[in-house]
Amino acid sequence: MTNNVRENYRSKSGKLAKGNMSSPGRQTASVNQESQPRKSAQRTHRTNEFSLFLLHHQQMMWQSLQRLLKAPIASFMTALMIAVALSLPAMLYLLIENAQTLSSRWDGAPQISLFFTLETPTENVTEVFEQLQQDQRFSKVELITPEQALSEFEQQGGFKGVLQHLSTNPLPATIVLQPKQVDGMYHQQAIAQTLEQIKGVEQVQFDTAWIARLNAMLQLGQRAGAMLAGLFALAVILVIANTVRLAIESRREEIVVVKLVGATNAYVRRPFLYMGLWFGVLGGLLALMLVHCLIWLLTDPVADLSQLYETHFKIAAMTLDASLLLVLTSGVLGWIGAWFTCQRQLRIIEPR
Amino acid sequence: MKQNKTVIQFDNVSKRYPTGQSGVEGINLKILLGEMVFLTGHSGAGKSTLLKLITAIERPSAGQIWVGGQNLKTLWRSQIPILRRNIGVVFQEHRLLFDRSVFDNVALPLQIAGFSPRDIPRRVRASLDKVGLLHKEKVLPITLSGGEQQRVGIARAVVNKPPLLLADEPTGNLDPELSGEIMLLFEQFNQVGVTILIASHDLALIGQLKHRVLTLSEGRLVSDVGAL
Repeated sequence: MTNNVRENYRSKSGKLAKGNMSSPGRQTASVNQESQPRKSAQRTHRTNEFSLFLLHHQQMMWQSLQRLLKAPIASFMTALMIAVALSLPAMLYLLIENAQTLSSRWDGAPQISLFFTLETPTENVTEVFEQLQQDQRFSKVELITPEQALSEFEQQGGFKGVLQHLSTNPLPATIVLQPKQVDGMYHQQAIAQTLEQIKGVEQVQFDTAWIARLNAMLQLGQRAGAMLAGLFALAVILVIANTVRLAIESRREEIVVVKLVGATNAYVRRPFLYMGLWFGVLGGLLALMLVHCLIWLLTDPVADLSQLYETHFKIAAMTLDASLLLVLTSGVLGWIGAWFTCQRQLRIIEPR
Repeated sequence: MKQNKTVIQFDNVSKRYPTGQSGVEGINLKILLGEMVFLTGHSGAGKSTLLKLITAIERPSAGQIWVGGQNLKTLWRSQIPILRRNIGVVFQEHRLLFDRSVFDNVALPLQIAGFSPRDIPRRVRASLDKVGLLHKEKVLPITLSGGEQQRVGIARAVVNKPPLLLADEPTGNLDPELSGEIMLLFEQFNQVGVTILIASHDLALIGQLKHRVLTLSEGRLVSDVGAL
């Protein structure tokens, strides 16, 4: 866009010089004689122009940051507003992420436990176990003998004293199966039916239901989170658009003057776009800080809770990737908000 | 310095405002390269409208305008800035930016036109030197007198050496002595080949200077004196 304008400028200024409005002091001898050296002069001018274009971008970038820092409290308020709007979906994302790591310990695929009757001889159980190991439908087959079950139980539950008083082992042999693929409940039902017919099997237990429920809930949460994130992104765009609109309004006279002396819309827009970008980036950084504070506040209660459940669950903070993405998205949202305002406002503000 | 090339041409140009504001009606006019022309008439006669038509601030309701060989009707919106870079404009109310120094005000057209930062100080100082304000480059415009502010405005208008200079009541707020100085300045620019069009209702001052005078009345061009 800007390059187009520059292109126009070049061709136009060339035309003007060759046409009627030649510059003062310029020799208006022969146009043809003059055109050769000017062409090469233009070429060096062109490479120069690009670096000047970059230079202007750089200048505007720092100038607009300086402008923000000149009114630190107002800028901080705006950035904080953006941060609050961003930290809400970010927190939700984190919660879902953490819940997912919890549920993924069950691999998403349901495990099947085969409980044998207490009377089933060990040899029979081993036989079934060996058969199931050959079965292609299962990716993992694990045998838990009554003795293993007992020792595990003793370690976990602190029932050591109680169990010592029992004369016989009350725990049955168990085979834990991991089905290879879950195509649907019908499939599982078919597996269950075959398993129930194995001799000595007392009970077939699927531990799927609650995982399925959890997963469904997480999916719902994700969907809701995405919707919420969309809404809050809109809020960020609007906040920045409004802030930039006020900034444009307060610099109205300046805009009129620079337009009068030949500024392109791109030139006029640039500082405001950078303003939006800065607000977005600062808001994103503040949101990161907010999220980290909130997580830090949650760490102890979560630790207490997980201790009660005898797990070592620790709430995971945002990864570096996610943090970068947050700041980047925020910056882009700021840019977009500023751009919308500029499109509207700068067309209205014209010299009269 | 006058040459036989047309810088500004109006072909039966009319501008009517939808608000009923007075515009211009049926203007035919040619201004040649190197001319210095006064545009006079009562306030509301259409002087400002005419200048705004040249800088494409306003678009004509009818007729055609050529500036520097370019028909403004075929000028794209995106090309307007380029047109304006080739026209220096001096305003009655100066239109300086009060949040920056005299130097930065004068440097503005150069920055916009994409001059290299190495060239800018030299050109700005040359321009300020011409209007006699080189020693004031660091001060804020608000601390200057009306005449000095107007001279800063002129320095800004000529800093990128535009071939055409327009001035809208440049002496409107100044006493006769200062007005004379400002006019002298315009004559000096005209000496080096700049085409100049000055809108002014200061008939006494215009009478002292021997230049072409266009008179507008109620939007129409009623006299054209001194054209060769």
